[in-house]
Amino acid sequence: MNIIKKFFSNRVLSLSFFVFLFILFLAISKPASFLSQINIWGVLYGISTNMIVAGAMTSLLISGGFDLSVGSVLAFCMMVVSLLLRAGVPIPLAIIITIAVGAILGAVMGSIIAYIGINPFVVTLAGWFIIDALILIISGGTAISGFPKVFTAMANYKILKVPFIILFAFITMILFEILLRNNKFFRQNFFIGGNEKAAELLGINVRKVKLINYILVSAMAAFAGILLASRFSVSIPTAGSETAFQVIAAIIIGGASLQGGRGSATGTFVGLLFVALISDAIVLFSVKVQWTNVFIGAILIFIVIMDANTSKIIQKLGQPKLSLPKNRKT
Amino acid sequence: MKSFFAKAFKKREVVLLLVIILLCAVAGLTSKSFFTMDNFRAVMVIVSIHTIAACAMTVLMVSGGFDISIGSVLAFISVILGILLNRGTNITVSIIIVLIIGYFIGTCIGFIISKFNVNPFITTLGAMFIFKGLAWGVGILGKPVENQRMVFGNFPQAFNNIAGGRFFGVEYIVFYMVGILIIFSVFLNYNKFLRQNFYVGGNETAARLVGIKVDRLKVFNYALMGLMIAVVVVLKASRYQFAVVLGNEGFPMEIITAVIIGGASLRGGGGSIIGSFLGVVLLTLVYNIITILGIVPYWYGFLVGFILLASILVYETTKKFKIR
Repeated sequence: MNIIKKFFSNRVLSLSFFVFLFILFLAISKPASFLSQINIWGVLYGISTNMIVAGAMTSLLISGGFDLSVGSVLAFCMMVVSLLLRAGVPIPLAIIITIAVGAILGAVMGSIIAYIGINPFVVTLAGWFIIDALILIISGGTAISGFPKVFTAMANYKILKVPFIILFAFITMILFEILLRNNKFFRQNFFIGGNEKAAELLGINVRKVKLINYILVSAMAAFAGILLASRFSVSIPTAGSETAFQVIAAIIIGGASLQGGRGSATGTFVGLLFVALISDAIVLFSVKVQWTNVFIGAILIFIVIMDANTSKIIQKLGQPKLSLPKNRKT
Repeated sequence: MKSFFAKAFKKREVVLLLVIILLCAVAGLTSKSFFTMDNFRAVMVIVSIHTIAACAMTVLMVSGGFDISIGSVLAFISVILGILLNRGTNITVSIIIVLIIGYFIGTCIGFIISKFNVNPFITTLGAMFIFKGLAWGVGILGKPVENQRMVFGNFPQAFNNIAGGRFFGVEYIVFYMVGILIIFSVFLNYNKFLRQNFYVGGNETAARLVGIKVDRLKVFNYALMGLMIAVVVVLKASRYQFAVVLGNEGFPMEIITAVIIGGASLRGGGGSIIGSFLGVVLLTLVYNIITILGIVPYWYGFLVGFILLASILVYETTKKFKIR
């Protein structure tokens, strides 16, 4: 009983187990197509962009923050790097400028949220509108291509047979897992997400931590945008229109809560993998692609309901029932 | 007299109205085609459609909830309506079915949010995914007249007449909107049941302790939202004689933006129907003026984001100032 309880209350463990079963199921039922090189690399390519953003986003969600604008920052940085390269700016300089642009966008939104104290949803929604418009304004609404060969080779450059973009995605994931576990600065996120006022009284510089989270998210979105431009060797204005929702959904599936205070980079990775495998399975079983979203949404809702209920069940089993009004949210 | 103006300026609606009048004046001076009946009609049709959704969204946001799935739900209901009408189902029956589906979807969302205590953002995010997929998946089973954006058309003439006519030069859909606006405004301000939303949004725990049936109220709010989306689908399809399924992703964000500009807060407890209406009018006017002046339409999103940010900044800073 105790083991089952522990198993289900540890999201990373239970989710990994289900993902493992899912992989096993796919490998047995469609061995030829699922285990093929192309399919495995395809799945990894598919989640690599979201992974790059997701590490920093997990840290942000743990602190109780929230960012709807990542997708537009990603696409905007994609456009910026393309325009810079087309204008003949050297590649390293173009990359540095683009990351700086991403960081500045994050810093503007982050300082409005952290220092003026406005709801992150509203600020990043406004940011989304504004940056989305900026993308169309600077690009003229069309896709941009024609980069130097060196740049387009970057994301697909293979180190030990692993394409650079995938390697980079895994490195960021591992880095954020380590930082969120061991780094003093990043551990502050858990306190802030758990109880912001208490964290402030403890002497944590809440505003600074929040601001840095937003800067990091936007800077990582810039990285993702650059690598995506390099991978496809074309920049599309609508590249990031789904990123924010997909990443947030995966992070929530991976065990974080919008209230903040919990979550882990590993959980996020497993969540992303889970969603990617669902899309993959739908293709492999030649179900109409359109149904993918139905499954993702259903799983998201199922998991949050389970989440709210397991804690209720555990409460019922373990402790005497409290008569306080319920106001816990998941 | 001075205190009258001071009081008036603290009202969000008054400030919004002044901004709108100013905007109209500037637009009227710069373009001849702004103050024409045709342009007014075009603006009012869009305002009507958005206002009907914004009314329900206001009630929802007053209670501290919100819904980002309405774009997908709208798409899904459009598919159902399109398929029903193309199959030759009786018009009244199809409309009733569509309204029931909208109400039912809203009830389900509200049930999950209130009974299972799940965050409204995540629940409606999940619902957004589900209904986007369903709209697409079910839509390809029907016979859209255009596949690119999955547009349903060829509705019977009697259906198109529901919102497709004019009365003394005013579109029917405007009358529907005014009726819904008045009903919502009166009920949110004077009806005992809907007024509870302000308590729930202000302090949910306290509202529970006072004896308000918070869960029931929340489920009702989301059901109302679903119902109003179905109403929007019917009126929109009837007015335009088409039901566009894809490309509604921006709809929920635009409605939420209008409601926030109108004075509602994401924390709940504040907001008014008239404010939301004025918010919708402001956003629609911005779009209209951009189109009339021949500015590249991309600037619309920029301006919307800017107005949202400015309004919330002004609101928050004046509130802080008042407390001091």
